[in-house]
Amino acid sequence: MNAPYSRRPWLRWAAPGAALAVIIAGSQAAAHWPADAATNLPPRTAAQLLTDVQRAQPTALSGTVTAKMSLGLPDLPTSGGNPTDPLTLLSGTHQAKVWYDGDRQARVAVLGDSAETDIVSNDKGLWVWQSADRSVLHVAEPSGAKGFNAYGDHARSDDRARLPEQLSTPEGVAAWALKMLDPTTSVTTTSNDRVAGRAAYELVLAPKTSNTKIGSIRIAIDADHHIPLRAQVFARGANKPAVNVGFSSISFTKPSASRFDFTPPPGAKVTTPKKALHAAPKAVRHDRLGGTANTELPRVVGKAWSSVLVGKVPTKPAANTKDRSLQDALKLLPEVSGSWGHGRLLDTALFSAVITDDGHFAVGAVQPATLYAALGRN
Amino acid sequence: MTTTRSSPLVPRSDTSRGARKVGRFFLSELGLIMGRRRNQAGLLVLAAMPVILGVAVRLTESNPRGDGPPSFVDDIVGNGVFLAFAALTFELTLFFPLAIAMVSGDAIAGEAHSGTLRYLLTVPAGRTRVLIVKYLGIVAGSFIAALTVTVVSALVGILLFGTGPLTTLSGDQISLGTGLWRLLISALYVAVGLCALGALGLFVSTLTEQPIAATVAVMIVTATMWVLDAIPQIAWLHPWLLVHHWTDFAELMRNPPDFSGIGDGLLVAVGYAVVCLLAAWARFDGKDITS
Repeated sequence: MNAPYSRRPWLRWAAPGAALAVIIAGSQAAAHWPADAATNLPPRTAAQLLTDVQRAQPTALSGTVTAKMSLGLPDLPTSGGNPTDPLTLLSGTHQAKVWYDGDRQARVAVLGDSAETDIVSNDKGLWVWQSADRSVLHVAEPSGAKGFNAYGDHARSDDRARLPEQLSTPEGVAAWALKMLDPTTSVTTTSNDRVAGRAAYELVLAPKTSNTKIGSIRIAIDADHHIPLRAQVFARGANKPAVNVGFSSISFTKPSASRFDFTPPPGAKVTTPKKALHAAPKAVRHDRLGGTANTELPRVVGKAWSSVLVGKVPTKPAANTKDRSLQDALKLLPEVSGSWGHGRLLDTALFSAVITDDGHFAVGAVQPATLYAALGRN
Repeated sequence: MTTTRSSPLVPRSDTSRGARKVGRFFLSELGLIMGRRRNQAGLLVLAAMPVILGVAVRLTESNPRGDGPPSFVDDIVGNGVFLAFAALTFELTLFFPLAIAMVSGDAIAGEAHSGTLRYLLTVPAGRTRVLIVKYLGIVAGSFIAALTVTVVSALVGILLFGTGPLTTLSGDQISLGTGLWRLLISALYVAVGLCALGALGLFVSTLTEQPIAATVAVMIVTATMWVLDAIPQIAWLHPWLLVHHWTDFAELMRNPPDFSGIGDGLLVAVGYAVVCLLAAWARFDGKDITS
């Protein structure tokens, strides 16, 4: 019965070996398949692309947004499962689902490990649900104001009338933006990109100076609907993006209306801020100015891409637990010193930051040496 | 099909008789697995875990919500059905793999150890058929284990905490019927993952004549995969680990349910099962049976 094997018993091992090879090859082919599908769009200039984006009509969509951060930061242990923790968002891969009805209603679900944060905007206002602590934040829509509308600012014609003649048309705005960018940045386009299975143009912004860590910023724009599909930031000389945020799947069908319903589940903590949300920043700013009036305001050293923000860290008398863990994290950073003083350095793929022992900081998308020079000028 | 029937070499009556023989062989194997006292005790332990978990949560119900790891434990108080999801999550780390490691260790190595394997092979059944029936026994064990835990924990949970509409991770509520339906899918998905581990166990079982060695080896492989899965620096390896997608049935508790994790998990499970079963066949078919 097993005649071919009786003389060469090892031949049987070809079966599992072949199965393993087929599985590995198949998975690799499946992973790279969408990239191989070529697109051939008619070329468009940067000015045309920028005009297209401004002319884009709000369109209903649903999709998944994937953000991949490769800043070179150490992978932090995920804390408590809250997917919108800012420290967690700085590294690793994150996913969010997005629904938009093309008008005023939208829902964003940030997916975590057995946790989820939902941001829902509907007729009743803005809801923020966090499954990690089962809390709901509800901001009722201010009476008479417009609800969520991603394109709301562009749609207001009375504002546009007050703008100078040159900026009153999408073409004018595009030309103005390109003129402003021209001394520092080269703007080019590509026309053969593919994002989430959709043909896309790419707007490539590359610094003209070499004194920055940023190699290029690439924004993919859907060829049909003219909405941004993906943004990537490349470090100088890198062939993989340090920041990659974009749709991994997208569909332009209108989500069902029930997608935007939200009723706080029983047992959830619902908080409703007394004042409308837009009043909050003013209060915060007042508090900050009042509390730290004696500290100098941060200032910018250098120009455009190689600019460095230099300032003094505001000293807070009451350090809460979060601040303390931040202090501990600071101690993990390598120590550096020079003629400018002594401090700790955070050096990532895209930016670097120094905090000196006497409370000064310098941060910029530049090499640490440029930071030291900026600090030395103090 | 018709060409097979008319083929003089393979008479139809013979294949159907073969299928019936496999069926009878499988039933006797299932009786053997379920009849073993250690397997009965193991199933009892599996079923006892959710009871302990449920009573513990019930007794400490008044405590404020802790900062512990995210799981379904916090939701149990609100709805007893979540006890079943929590139990499946808990038992996947240790108890389910241990049960499958035990059953698969017994499959070939156990027979070899007690000296019954050669008698099994004197019956004109063919080694491939013995292997198929042994694997079907492990598959049955996986489904029995997962479904027993699910049913017991859902009943205990409903008894202790009551039930009603379920709150999903997205903050929306789904009806009890929809929730139970998703629980059933979760249980079946867990069982499929255990079947893949069982295939690995069957392969290990053909390598040794000591059932305990096979059991320990499967547990070491499982624990190693859990550890590797927790190290973020080797994220490229994670999609290839059998256990990586095991707890992805939690994605069903979003609204709308997200099946992508389960889909990937099923692909990985099928891949492991195919490779391990072929390896088990390659080993067992060419093995010298001396005991």
